[in-house]
Amino acid sequence: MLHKDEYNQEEYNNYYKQEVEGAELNDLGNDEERGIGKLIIGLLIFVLLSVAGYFGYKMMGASNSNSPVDESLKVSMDSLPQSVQNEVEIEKSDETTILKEQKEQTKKSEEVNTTQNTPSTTVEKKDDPTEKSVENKVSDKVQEAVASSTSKMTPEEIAAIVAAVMKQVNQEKSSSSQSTPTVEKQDKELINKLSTTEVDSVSDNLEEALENVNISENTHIDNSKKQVDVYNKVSVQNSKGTDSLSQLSELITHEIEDAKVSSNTTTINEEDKEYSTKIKKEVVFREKEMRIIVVKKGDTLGKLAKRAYGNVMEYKRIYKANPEITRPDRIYIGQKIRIPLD
Amino acid sequence: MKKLFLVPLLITSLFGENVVVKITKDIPYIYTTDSGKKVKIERIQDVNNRLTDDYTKTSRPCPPFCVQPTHVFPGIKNFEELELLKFMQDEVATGKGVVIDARLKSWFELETIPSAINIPFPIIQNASKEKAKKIFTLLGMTIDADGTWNFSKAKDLAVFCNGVWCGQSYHLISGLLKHHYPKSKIFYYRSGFQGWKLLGLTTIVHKEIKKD
Repeated sequence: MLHKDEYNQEEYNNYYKQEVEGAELNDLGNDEERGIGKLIIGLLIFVLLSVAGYFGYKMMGASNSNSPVDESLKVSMDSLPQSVQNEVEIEKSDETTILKEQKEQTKKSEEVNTTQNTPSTTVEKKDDPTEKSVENKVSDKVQEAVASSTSKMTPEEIAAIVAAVMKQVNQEKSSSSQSTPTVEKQDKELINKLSTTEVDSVSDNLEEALENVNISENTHIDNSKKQVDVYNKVSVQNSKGTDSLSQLSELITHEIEDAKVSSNTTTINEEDKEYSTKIKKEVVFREKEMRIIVVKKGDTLGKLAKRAYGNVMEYKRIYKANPEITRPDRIYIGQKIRIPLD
Repeated sequence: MKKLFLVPLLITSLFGENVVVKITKDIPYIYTTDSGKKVKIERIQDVNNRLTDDYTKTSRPCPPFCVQPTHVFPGIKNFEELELLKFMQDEVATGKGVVIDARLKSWFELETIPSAINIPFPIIQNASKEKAKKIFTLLGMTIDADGTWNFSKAKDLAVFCNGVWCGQSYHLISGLLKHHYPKSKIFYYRSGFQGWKLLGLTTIVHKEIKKD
């Protein structure tokens, strides 16, 4: 804890060391409890994963027997040459009669019509991660059918089957990708809206912004303020002029220093002496009211606040006293920061 | 022909300085010198800026930090910011006048008004006649043949300290009057450094207090 009258460089030097040691002690104290907690959490995760795996396996089985894949195959069948369709259907159902086949074919053609009229339904059935596997399954089915009938098919016919299937898959892909740009556009608009409102609120009301700001948050703040010199100070620390005003200042300073040395010989009014003494106390107090520190590697406003006031959350005081800091998590090495010690 | 008039306007708008916070409607800034440096006195341009340092402090024990009377001594004229700026342009620039910071040295070094020189109030107040003579001579006073002090060419002095709550100017002026510096050549900037800071006017730092 840094007090106004006890500013101590040693304390500053030891600060980080103490902080690290403190952190280590805290870690050691909670080791057992943390170990048990981790074990329980690990077991829970294992059980959850097992249950999820079991149900997932069941679902996969169901989806294989059912069939977005079959539907896709049926769709593709429609675009195949008639002879090939017949061959494939014969291979798929060996024991069915010709009437059943005709009925199925009429049913399939109806399904094809409905799916072609509503392409979005097929898109909805296929999520992005599974899209590839579905595509593979479609081509596998076709290959199976083709393999069984290759003896009766020409290479042109095989090529036509593959081309038709690929065309359909591409159509599905393009229809699903059409929805993404609009979503992206909407997102961008939303993000833009959010960022502008945040900037406005920060620049309009600094007090409110200080209350709401969090060190770890990526808050949007108007960076144009960095350009403004909020102190409007001109340093003449190392300047020595040769103009008449500078010479006058120098000569008077010399006389003042001389007067200080010989002040013991002059008679001083008691009242004035008391006034001077009280004023000098204020000078000492004032010098300790506000310090300027130079930021070192590893410094944060929180660490500086802890060092100055003993509380990390007091970083707001330092942030408020340094208007050129636009974000409390952005200070740089070598930066001069004012620390109010009042 | 109209285009010819538009050219300078365009150049000014492109390269001219955009002063949002002017000193007055007609004066955006002025120039003076300090420690051999040309210093531009202007106001802070950030319209959301607020003071954060010790000049925001409202209360100090009184005495000694009591509210000063409007007129510290009869016959001593008061200055405010615009008179002080005019004084810098008319009198400091020509060597006829000087701005005096009556505060103790540490206050002066930390931050002061541009072009000001420091004469801490106890120096004049406690000065012997000989010391006062030396300082006044530097301020333009001459010694007549009969030994009398001649203030006819003495500089006008604009005296200030921390502000309305600060009596350091009063003490310096009382010291000047004690040694017969003419009242007509002394001006009191009552709002002082706090008034100057409150307007966001440029300040001078002679020595930074810092701690690594």
